[in-house]
Amino acid sequence: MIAEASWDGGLGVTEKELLTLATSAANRLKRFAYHLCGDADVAEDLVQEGFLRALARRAQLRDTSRALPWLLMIVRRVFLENRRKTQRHLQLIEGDETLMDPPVGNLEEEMFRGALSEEVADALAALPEEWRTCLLLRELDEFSYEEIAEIVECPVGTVRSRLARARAQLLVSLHTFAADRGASRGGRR
Amino acid sequence: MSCPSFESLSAELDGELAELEREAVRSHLDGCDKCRARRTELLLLGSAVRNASAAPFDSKELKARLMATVQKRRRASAFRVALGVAAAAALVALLVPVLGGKDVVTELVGDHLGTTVTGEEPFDVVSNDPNVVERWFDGKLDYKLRIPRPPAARLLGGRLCNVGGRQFPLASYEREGRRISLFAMGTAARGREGDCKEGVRGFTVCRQAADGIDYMLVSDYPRSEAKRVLTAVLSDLR
Repeated sequence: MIAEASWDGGLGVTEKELLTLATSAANRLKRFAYHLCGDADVAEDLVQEGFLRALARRAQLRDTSRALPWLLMIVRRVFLENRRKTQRHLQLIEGDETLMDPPVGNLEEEMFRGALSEEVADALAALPEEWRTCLLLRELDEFSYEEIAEIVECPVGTVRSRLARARAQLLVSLHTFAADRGASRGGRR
Repeated sequence: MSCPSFESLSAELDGELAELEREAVRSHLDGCDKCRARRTELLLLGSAVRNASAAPFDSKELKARLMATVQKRRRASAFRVALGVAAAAALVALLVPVLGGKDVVTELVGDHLGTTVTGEEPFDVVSNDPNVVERWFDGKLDYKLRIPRPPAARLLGGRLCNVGGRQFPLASYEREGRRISLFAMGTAARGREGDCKEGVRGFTVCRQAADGIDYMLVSDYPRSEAKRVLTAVLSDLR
């Protein structure tokens, strides 16, 4: 805890410490921002703007081990604010309480071979941002539900629900894709 | 037990179920082919998501941009000081909250470390001659800085540091094989006692006024010795 080092019980990190933390996590920050906005250049802008805000609020970071979730939260806030300015994003599919129950099929072989990689990427891109973000924070960064809740600023129960919905939706998309492909192969025979 | 919900299977996979529910789901999985197949599919889905999304990014340019952001802030802050925005009278009023502020002492130690240990913060002026270092600071501060000339310490150089969002000069010395950093924190508040804080990230920070200026010394001396060193360093200013 940096806080213990301060003279008057003060808190926060120095600019240099924050710079070190951010540069050492630059890859993860950029990847996170990229999955938010879908553009590598815009992703760097988001991270830079987020970093500027983090500098201004560095006194809020009381524990450096929480630096990455904190930075990710700020980057996402920047993204959401920019999005609000440029488009009317008013509807979140979470309003629909029913969780799709995807069929249990045989995707195993193709998934193992990575043959569905492009389709997975497309299906991911088609998910609502809130679902996709939770799923990628879990699968790529292995954050706990509590950490994800901190980053996306919602209750842990919502994280659990978003993850299930994201996975269900992906499975439905991939089953549909596999069925279409099977039909088209069958048609060519 | 009837088949667990998709959400429960998903959370079980992430190790996020409470113990009782986890045990119930696992014991169900032992006897249900359909749920086991579903679980396997979810595992594979995770692997497919990672394959599809984990391509490495080049972040060299981003790192450079982040570093430039910090440098730009520092230059902007130095420019404000050079313009004399912080007038001496205002500084007296501001100094007390600055010194009592949250990050100041930690930042001083950070600057000391950056200059003497990690080398991340090179000197702005490298010289053993106090006159040369003083001349470098001329015009960059709103008061005339005097660099102490303690007999038992050798001056190494100086730097303008950003501390608590303001610029303060640092003079670095070598004394008895140890590195010490002296910060001039501006006009001293009248009647302020000197004091010391030990164990700030392993260093001792002492404060004392001389010639109307508040100085802070960062060193790895123990508290009582650090206080004596600061008094000795400032002796020729009195």
